[in-house]
Amino acid sequence: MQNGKFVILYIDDDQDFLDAVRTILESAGYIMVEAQSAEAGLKVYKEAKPDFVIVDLMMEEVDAGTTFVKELRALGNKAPIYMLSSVGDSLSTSTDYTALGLNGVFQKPIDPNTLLSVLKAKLKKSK
Amino acid sequence: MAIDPDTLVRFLDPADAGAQPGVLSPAETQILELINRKVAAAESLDELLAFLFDRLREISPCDRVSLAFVEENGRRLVSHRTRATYEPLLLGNGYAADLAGSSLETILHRGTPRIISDLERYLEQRPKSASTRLLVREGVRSNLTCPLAVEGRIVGLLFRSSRHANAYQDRHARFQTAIAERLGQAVEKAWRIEQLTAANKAYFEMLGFVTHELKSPVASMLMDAGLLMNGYLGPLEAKQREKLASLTRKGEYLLGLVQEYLDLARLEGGELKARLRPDIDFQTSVVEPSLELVRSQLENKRMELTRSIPPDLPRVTIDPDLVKIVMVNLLSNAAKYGFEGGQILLSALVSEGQLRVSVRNDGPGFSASHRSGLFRKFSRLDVPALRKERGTGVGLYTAWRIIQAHGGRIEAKSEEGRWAEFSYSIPQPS
Repeated sequence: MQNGKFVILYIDDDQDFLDAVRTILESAGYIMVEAQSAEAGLKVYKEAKPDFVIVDLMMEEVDAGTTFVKELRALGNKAPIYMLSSVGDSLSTSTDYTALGLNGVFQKPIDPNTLLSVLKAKLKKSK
Repeated sequence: MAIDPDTLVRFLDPADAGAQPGVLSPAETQILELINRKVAAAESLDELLAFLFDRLREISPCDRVSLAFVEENGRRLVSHRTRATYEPLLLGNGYAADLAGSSLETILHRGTPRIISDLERYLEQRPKSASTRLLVREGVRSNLTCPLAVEGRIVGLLFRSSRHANAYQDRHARFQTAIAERLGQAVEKAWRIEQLTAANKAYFEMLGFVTHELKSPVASMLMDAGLLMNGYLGPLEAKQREKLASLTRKGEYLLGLVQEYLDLARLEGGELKARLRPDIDFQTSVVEPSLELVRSQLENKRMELTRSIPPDLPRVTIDPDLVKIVMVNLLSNAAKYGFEGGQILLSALVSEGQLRVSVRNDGPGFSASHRSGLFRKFSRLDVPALRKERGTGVGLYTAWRIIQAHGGRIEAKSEEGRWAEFSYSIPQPS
């Protein structure tokens, strides 16, 4: 938390998605920190100590997302991690996301109401 | 023609080239009969060539057999199949050479077999022949080449080579001609099927690539439209909202197409295998994520979805990723083709060793005559009431493929003008 606000880390290689999610999160009183690669995301994670992490696992570097999740676990991460899934990923993405150490999945395009209600539920619980 | 062992390159006379009765040895006749049978049994090119290679080596000098096809309207020759007693093959499969001005062009032109008794000496005379150089480097010393003809048209060449010089005489050429006559049609057919398969594969790869590239921008457009619609970027007037809603509908339609084509491209790209996993919670692994994907479609048409799934539904053995695709397709169809404001009923149960799932919607449905074609690739219903609903015609085909891969059945029922129901069953281990 920073100044009484929850910090959300969102990692996606598409700036348009980062901008859109930032608009939603900031309007609801969250602080968003972002990164465009798993490597940069790890750096931001260490600095910002986010309360919630959203990561697109299908970033351009193969396995970048899944490796990132493993590294967070190695760092003793406690924040919920949600991944993003696009249409057509259904064959390559295992539905067994818990095995990857994930807490849930958001579909792209992200529905603002779904995003905010999940954040509200998860962050209240972890407080 | 008279055999002169010193002649480096010999062509058989056309009159001599055919195998007359009595000219072939009993072993050769037997091989020909077996080849006839194999051709009739439509064995693959690989099987035919492997057989030929093994048998030719038993009765004559043979260290290498290969098939090449004439491509690009006779302008190019491409090596397609090679078997040899040695490695590495320098002139391997996929080796292509232009025919214009080459010595092979003469064989195609004359239509008769050619024997080269010493490739090293031949290379000295034709130092520019890249293919000869490669063969010599492989260790090949003599070569026998026969045209493969189909109804008088030469479609390729059948090569036999030996690592010894002066290995082949006219009788070898006659026998090989007899083989080539029998192989010609089978070889061309197999080759054309291969070409079609490759073209089909390339088509689906391209389809997959293009749709994959569309996916992210369309999703991003929809997300931005959602921000506008939800007032994140300021209030909108009614007219603006109306336009935005129309943009969103079109975007969602595009994303639906992307989804279907990507699924299809994946299925067609390789052998579809269901990775069955036991102990799957059908509700949380299949139903919930599928409903999430079609929720906005249902909302847009103010449809009401009722679930009839027992709370104690046993855990099932399925490939949840694949079955989710089926579920999304059926639900999305129900939303797309159902009456506005209508009902959708989703039922699931396990009975008599089968997981049985059905999706029923109020809607115009389809006639009995349309029913059998529904699950065919690219099939589209030509029902007046549904004409404005466009689709890829691949969703139900994909669903059919997936249910087949599970050893199950998928069916469609309808009372025209009232309702349609799609149901599938997947056998469960006892």
